[in-house]
Amino acid sequence: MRRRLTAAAVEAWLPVALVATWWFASASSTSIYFPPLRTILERFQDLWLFERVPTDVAFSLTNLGLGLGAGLVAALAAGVVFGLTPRIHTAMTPVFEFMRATPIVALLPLIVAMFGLGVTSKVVIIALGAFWPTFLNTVDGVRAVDPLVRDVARTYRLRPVTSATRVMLPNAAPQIMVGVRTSVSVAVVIMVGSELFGSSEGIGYFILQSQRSYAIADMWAGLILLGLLGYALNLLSAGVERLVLSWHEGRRTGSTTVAAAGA
Amino acid sequence: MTRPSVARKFFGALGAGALVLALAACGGGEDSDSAATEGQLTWSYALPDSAPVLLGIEEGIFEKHGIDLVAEEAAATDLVGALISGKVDLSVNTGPGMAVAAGQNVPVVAVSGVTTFEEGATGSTGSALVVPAGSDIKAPKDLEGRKVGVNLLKSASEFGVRQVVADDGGDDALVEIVEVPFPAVADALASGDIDAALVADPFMTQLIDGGAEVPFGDPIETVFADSPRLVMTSTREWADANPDTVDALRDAVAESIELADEDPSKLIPIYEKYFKMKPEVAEATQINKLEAGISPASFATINDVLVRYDGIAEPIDVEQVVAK
Repeated sequence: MRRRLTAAAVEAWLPVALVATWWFASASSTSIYFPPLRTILERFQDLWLFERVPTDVAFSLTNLGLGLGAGLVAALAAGVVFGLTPRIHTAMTPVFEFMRATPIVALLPLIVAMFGLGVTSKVVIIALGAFWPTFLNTVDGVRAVDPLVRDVARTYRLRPVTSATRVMLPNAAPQIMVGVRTSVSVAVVIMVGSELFGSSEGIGYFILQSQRSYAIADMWAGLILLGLLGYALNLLSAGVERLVLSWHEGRRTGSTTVAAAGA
Repeated sequence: MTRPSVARKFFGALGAGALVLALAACGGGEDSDSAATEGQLTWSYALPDSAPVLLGIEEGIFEKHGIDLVAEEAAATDLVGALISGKVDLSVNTGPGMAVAAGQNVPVVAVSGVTTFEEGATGSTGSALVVPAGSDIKAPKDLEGRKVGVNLLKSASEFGVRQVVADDGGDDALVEIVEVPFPAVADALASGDIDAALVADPFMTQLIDGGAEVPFGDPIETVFADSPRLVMTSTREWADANPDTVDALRDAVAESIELADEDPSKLIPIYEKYFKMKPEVAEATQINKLEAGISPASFATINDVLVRYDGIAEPIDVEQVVAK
């Protein structure tokens, strides 16, 4: 118990110290770019508790949920298929690496031209961004399944679907979850990016609009909201990971952070 | 794997904290470290409306008034930042933009007017509301229940559309206005994503050439009329400290405008040189009415419209946005 408290204190002291420093250092600030933290928090309360939640926050999170869901499902399905067909996978590797290395937000103008400026193009681009980390990790995870286990599955003549869901995916789960958590971070980045171009709603749009109309405190309030949302999503995906891998003896303990990949 | 040791976490966090503080220390630099040499003034211009002033510089009018003005192009999204940080001495902004900035207590003032929202010598404002060929939108009221694209929300474009609908006896709350960048308008109109769009040249001419119709002109012009469109700006601090230079600037802008009014074709090489326009685009570019003076009454419409549509919380005091 005492050790836990110490650990919590070690994690908490810096954020607390930083916020306190920010609060006092900015208290009498007259700079238009760095308004007092007190002003920012007042705007935060006015805007996000909970006036704009049904509009901007709901809009962003709906897109995020749909895009992430579609991207992850597609990544798992495609990952198993390519993981089980090494030859095709080897042939496709350069293409995959090229696609993965392309910053997904750069595709936004193309996606908008194809799907219009509505919700569809935002969901599509979030799904595209969320797809790659999970897909590549699933392929690797499936390929790394012990040949002995594969042989046993084959000997038992498991149907392909059974083999995939009962043998391949669980075996690859630890690596898949690493991909999923990266996908979540990437999806948040792309969600914001997708709202900076031709959008009329969303948290990203709100931040851009605040900056354009010199409402800098509002902009900071939006940034703080994004930070909190990102943190909450990271905790959520860590929880999901723990749940999914609870059976796994070698599952990672401790660290709940995951490095955000560039998008 | 085990948890990282407490000591390691501690020092890792300490490092991150130092970084954040260092970054914070970099911000807030508001000392004016103008790059210009002694006596020189730097001016960041944006929008083709700046052309008459650039013509004045080329023709030596500013020099005659004792001002060594160096022009550099700025992005239309960076009209205030460079001023506040002291990177430039003078900048430009729009009348409604000035009101919004004043509403947020941004210490920027207009030292001179340049254009208004009325059409100028070339007989067009170069922007209009367009609808696809055969559309049943004939009057502003017909926009009720429709979707209209503008390139910037909460700007003169959105407010102009809302106000013409209201002036025509319609309910602007029934008009859905969405943000559509100019290059995406053609596709959005063709696919039916939007029913009408407010566009500016060169996109306006391209769309009209492609069969789009202009049912009722330019809502921005209709609504804002003689309000200032482009103004030349400085920080309030600078304007207060240099009243003589402000007067000289005003005179020089007025004289430049006279020259441009006498012969608008003199602006065409300016568009090519300073805005990198192709000759045929420069030729077709329209210029609004030129006006160096900013009368106190000229902000009345801006105040009225912006307060109605929530661009500003309360009417701004004209003295707050215009240098004495």
